[in-house]
Amino acid sequence: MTALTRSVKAEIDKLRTVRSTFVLVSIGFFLTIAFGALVAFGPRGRRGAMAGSLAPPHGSHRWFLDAMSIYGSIALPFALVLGVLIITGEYRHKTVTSTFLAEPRRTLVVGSKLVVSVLAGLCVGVLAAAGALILGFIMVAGSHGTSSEMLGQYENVLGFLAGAALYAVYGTGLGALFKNQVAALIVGLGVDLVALPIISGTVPGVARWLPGEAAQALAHAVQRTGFVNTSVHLLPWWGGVGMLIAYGVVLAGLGAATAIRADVT
Amino acid sequence: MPSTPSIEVTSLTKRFGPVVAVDDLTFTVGPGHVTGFLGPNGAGKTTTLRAILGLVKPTSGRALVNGVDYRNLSAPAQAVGAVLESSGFHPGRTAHDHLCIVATEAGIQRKRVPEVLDLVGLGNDAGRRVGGFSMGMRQRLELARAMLGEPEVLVLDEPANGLDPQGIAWLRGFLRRYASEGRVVLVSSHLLAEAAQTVEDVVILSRGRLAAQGRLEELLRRVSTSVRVRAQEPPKLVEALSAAGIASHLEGPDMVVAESTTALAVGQVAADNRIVVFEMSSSGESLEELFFSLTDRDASEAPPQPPGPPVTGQPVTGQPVTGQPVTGQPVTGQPVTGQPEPTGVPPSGNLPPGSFSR
Repeated sequence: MTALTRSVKAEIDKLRTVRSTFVLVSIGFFLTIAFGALVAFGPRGRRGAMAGSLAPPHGSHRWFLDAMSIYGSIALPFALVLGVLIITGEYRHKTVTSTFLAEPRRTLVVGSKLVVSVLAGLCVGVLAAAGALILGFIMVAGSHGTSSEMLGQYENVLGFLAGAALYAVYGTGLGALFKNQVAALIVGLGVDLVALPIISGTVPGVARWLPGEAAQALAHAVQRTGFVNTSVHLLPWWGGVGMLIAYGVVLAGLGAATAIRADVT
Repeated sequence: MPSTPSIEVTSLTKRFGPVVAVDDLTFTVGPGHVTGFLGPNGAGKTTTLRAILGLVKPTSGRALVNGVDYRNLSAPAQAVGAVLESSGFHPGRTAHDHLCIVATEAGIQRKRVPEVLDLVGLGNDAGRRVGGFSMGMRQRLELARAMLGEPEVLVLDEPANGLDPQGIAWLRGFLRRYASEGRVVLVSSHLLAEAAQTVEDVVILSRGRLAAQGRLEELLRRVSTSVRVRAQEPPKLVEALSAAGIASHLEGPDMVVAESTTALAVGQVAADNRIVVFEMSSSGESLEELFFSLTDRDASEAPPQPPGPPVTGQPVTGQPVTGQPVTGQPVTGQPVTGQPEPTGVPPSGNLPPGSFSR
């Protein structure tokens, strides 16, 4: 085994051997289903809100995709948190000492964590997409759409998965820069949940460069036809991929050059 | 890599902002016996150890293991084992999983994990989450981690912390054995009496600087002390001591105070002259004294020295002391075991924290 594969394997084990990983992914899964169901079937849900607009017909594949982009936005913060924990958890529990004793090449350690964050984000994404699919089938079954129509939109599912994976990479970058778990989470979630909606509403041209909308751009890859109004200003899917990778790698690189390089005391 | 394991610290300086934690420190540690790394709290011990382990970057100077910077060792965990105080565990992870992760990271076979867990006596707790571990168990788990790679160099920062007396006794024996197999063992401690029972060599640090290095035994010899003796024939003892070149004077009806000597020497003189000794105690000839003098502590800052307890609880009436000095053991190999223990210290050496550190 090369040093990198050893390190990646150890990082996977670090996630696999603690409950918090599974708790986090499970909460993401169940919230996706719960909020998805609320949006789809709630009394003031999608059908009512979109009535009279360009809303796709209830139960059609477009309607399903529309709903899924909402589920996606619920799952993304979980991918972010998991990505942040991959690095900050080590500092919080002081396991970073034993990590750097076993592998003193810190850049290699950060690199492995970035690799593993892709896998962690994928796990969050796969579960959330599975939840969306289950809901979608239920919706489709109860209306005039067909399952095959829905499955035909696999690009959106892939885009969503890639978005979740790269969102975790971005989280790991934040973690590397801040080291402190609380600080990294506040900044990451603060940008997503507080700053993004404001900027999106006022200067959408700027908002699309932010991580949250870059991830949305991936999920909306095929669906930028106008019925989801917010997607008009989103980057093309490849732009979203590029921005998220850039966020993750640049932040992690900055972190590796500053915070991670610092003395471990 | 040289064949003999070693730690070499050369002109090591480490500043944290305006604070100079380690100041131009130079020493080497060789294999074969346990070396104590001593100094009061804040003397720079931990910083030095962390520099040796590549966790802290020296401001200047070098700290090498087997002639190589830790970060450049090809298999660091197989070369050096480290037990560090501030190293932590994820509370939700089991002991077994914790060690498996380190083994994977370091390229060590996982079959070592149950071996080291058994070695430190945690074999039955392998599947338990570390969050439920006592401090002593965590310390053992740290030691297990250090032992994973069967390292030639072992560095331990305050390893006795949190261990019960049995654990300390076990650790002492373990470290001695490990070192005697030709390995380097460096143990830091601020508890002198504790360290003294394990170490043969010492590196003493004071305010980031080297205060002394050498055999503990020889350092102890340098400390001048007075020995108080209650004997059957005090004037005869004074005469005999004087003949042996030891200055002494009478105090009270049956007390002789010998200056600048050791209980060992006085006991030998008494025995040679067949003088019955009831009681003997040395004052000042203590590790604390040595420690304070070397770490240039202001005397007024030091707590009043408890008078050494009588060496024998009962006067040895009727039995002339022959052959052996009353202190029992000549100062070889285990220099301190024969010293009168400071008051309140259990024989196990499990000192209450802060006993000497203040």
